[in-house]
Amino acid sequence: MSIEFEPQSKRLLVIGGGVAGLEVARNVAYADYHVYLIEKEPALGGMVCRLNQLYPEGMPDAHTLQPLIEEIEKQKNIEIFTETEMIAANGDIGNYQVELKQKGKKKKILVGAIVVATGLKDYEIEKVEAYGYGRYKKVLKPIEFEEKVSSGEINPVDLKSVVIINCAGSRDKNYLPHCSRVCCFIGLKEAKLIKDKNPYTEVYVSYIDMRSYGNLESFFNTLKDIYNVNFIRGRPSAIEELNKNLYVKVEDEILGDLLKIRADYVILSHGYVGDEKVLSMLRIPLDTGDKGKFPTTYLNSLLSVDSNPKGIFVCGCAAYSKNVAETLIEARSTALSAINTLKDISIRTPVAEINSDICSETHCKLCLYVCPYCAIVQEEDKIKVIPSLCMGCGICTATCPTGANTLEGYTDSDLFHQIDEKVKKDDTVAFLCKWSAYGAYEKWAGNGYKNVKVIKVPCTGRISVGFILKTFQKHARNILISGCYPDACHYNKGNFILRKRLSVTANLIEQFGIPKEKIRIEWLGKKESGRIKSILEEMRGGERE
Amino acid sequence: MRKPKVAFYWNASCGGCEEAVVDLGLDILKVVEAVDIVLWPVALDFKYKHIETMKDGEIAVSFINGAIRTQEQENITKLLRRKSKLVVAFGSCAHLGGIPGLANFWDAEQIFNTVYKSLPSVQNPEGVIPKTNVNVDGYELTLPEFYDTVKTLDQVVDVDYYLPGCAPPPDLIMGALTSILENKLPEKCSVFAPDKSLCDTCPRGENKPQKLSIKKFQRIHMVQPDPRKCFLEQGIFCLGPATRSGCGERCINANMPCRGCFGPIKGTVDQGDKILSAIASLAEARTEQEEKTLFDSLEDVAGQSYMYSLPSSLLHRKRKEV
Repeated sequence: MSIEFEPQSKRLLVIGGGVAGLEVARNVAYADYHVYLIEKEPALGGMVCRLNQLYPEGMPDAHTLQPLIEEIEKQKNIEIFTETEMIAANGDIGNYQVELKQKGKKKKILVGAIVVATGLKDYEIEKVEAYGYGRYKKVLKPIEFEEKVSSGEINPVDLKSVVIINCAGSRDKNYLPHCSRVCCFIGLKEAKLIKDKNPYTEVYVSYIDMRSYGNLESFFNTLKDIYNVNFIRGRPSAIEELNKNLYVKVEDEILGDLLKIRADYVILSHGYVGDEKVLSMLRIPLDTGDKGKFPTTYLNSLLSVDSNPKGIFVCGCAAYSKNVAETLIEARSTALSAINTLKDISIRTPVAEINSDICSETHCKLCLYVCPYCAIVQEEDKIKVIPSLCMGCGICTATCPTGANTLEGYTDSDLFHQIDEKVKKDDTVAFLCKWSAYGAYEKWAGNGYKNVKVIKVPCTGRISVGFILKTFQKHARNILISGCYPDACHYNKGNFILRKRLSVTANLIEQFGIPKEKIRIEWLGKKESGRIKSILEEMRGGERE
Repeated sequence: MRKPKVAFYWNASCGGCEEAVVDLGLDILKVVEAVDIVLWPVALDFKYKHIETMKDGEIAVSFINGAIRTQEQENITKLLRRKSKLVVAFGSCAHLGGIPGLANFWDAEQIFNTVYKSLPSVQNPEGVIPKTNVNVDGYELTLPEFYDTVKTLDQVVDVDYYLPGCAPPPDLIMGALTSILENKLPEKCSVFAPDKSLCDTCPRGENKPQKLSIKKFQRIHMVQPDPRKCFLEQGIFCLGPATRSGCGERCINANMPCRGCFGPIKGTVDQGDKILSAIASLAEARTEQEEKTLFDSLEDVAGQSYMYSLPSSLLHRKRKEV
């Protein structure tokens, strides 16, 4: 099956009125598209409006956020809904029917594309029991500390000693395995906030690694050398309370000293996790395991074309925690992708289809988890492909043991037919991935060789054991399978799946008296036409034409 | 009205398919009443010459079981084809090649050497092996030629329908007979069995995990499988996902994995292709070394994947030339 998306709407829905959402809305509205901007809180601004200062420049939000909100509110192309949440979404690119709920009232809108800018959620730092968050009143999250300083509840002038724990619960297999990237400098920002107000407060920062990329290193150095913040390399083992005083126990890994530091306040610079609710409502595939349940990133894809699901973009901290400057940059590129999508929604793309007359549905389920995009789902007792998620790689088609799953243009019978027609005795047959090796071949192949036959596949993951058997049935001399380098598969993991299939095929064909060396696998880049030429020349052997 | 003529014939087979006809029980009486049996070597005494004298197409339907491995089998099969309106490949061996088809991993010479010479129980000091022609005291004795390659029925003659299974279950046999006798015939070349995979009717389907990942393969005789769990989940090679259903899950209920006697599912050709492509995709292996270890634990992968279907598979047999 191949689907053509009928654009019903050229409007954009932006979910989340933080900096990311605002910046996307502003740019898209400038390009003359209508934007619905929804925010679940009563006011726009998101996380940034709760912050006292931003790092590294220490700029108050009034300088970044307020001008943005003012501009947005003036824009005629933007309809703002506050205290509004999305409760349901259906449809495909060009035609998403979204149901909103504003203070108990429901409203339906039709949009062509959606930008998710829902921001991030704090990791539940109370899970790290040894740090006693929730048990000790003076163990705070950075945002709480900032709010208390802003409101005057805490006056840094009164503070003698503050311990800031970076990486609290993060990069720890027992709690939050991933690095949230921003927390190092959120911790340092608090150190600077205190030192700016009271240089005599002893500020201790415990850290594992200081992830000071870009110009952040100088911020770190400034705090260390000029502000005299005490840096302790080590992960505190516990926070204890004795006679109403807090003590942080930590081993300084550099000096080898066991320290017990008295603190007026302890700030836990914790990590962040994705906000699954909206993401899963829109069927956005999430990384699981130690990657923190953020949307899966397809590093090798052109996101504007290949957003997944098609026409849905994730931006800002909803995609992964990042600072305000980075969020703004990402928001602008997302706006561009959204504009391009709205401008030309007509996407025609082959997608996998499951024939339910043959599929054994929930009793088989072998294809359910092979899709890199989670496009195969179980709905009640049916297994279905969601067209807007499918990218047409064919990994599931090759996995399906029943032949119920087909991919237009690359069905089993199409490919068997190609092999049947093309391959003659003693030919060298090359199965080439359209993203890499086929491109390399095309560049050089103007005058290909008579005894080299090329079969183009959408991904090496589409190649099933049967294609190899069929090729040997035609008495081919040998087979080349060539696709993107490992870790560079356009579809994330197609080449790894192929490698597993080849591993079992090698054992299989040996039993048929065909040496496994007759199958060669080569990872290749799109530009390596010289290499594919020499590989094929070597494989075809014999005389030249 | 004259009753339709029916022939039963056996080629390279074990005789189980003949048993299957008898297993119809009382129903067989209905069949006998409705038809006129003209050939059934296992049960009734007819001669080939009776068949030879018939008009072409005189027999309404011939049910032929067994694979083709000798010249004689091929000759009789071709004769029956000529004389019959319909030919039904009866059982796995006729349909796919079956267990005798596994001989395609060897050739006639190797088989004769093993069977007549090298087996420990063989006493054959002169090394006599069967020959097609022998002259004994001036008399010429002949034997049919023993082929190098076992063939399926449809590789020798045109086949109208297939009745799958080792052996075909009585309900499918009765169904096929009824649709032939009542002239409610499906599309030519149809298989008298459902189009879905065995998983569809597998009693263990309900307990199948959402995500199947295979870490190690084990042979069925080495383990005591959990009778509720999917065999693949337990690392036991099961051809069910790539095999047609309709068998009545006899093996599964006896706590044995499917070995594929019903053949590939409608629209697919090669069971080994389908099952291996699927399970390799689900293999839990992160490095090439892990992959190798995992698939090396799947012993005799070709034998297990093509237990019933080697002659009908894409490669048919082991390569002779290298």
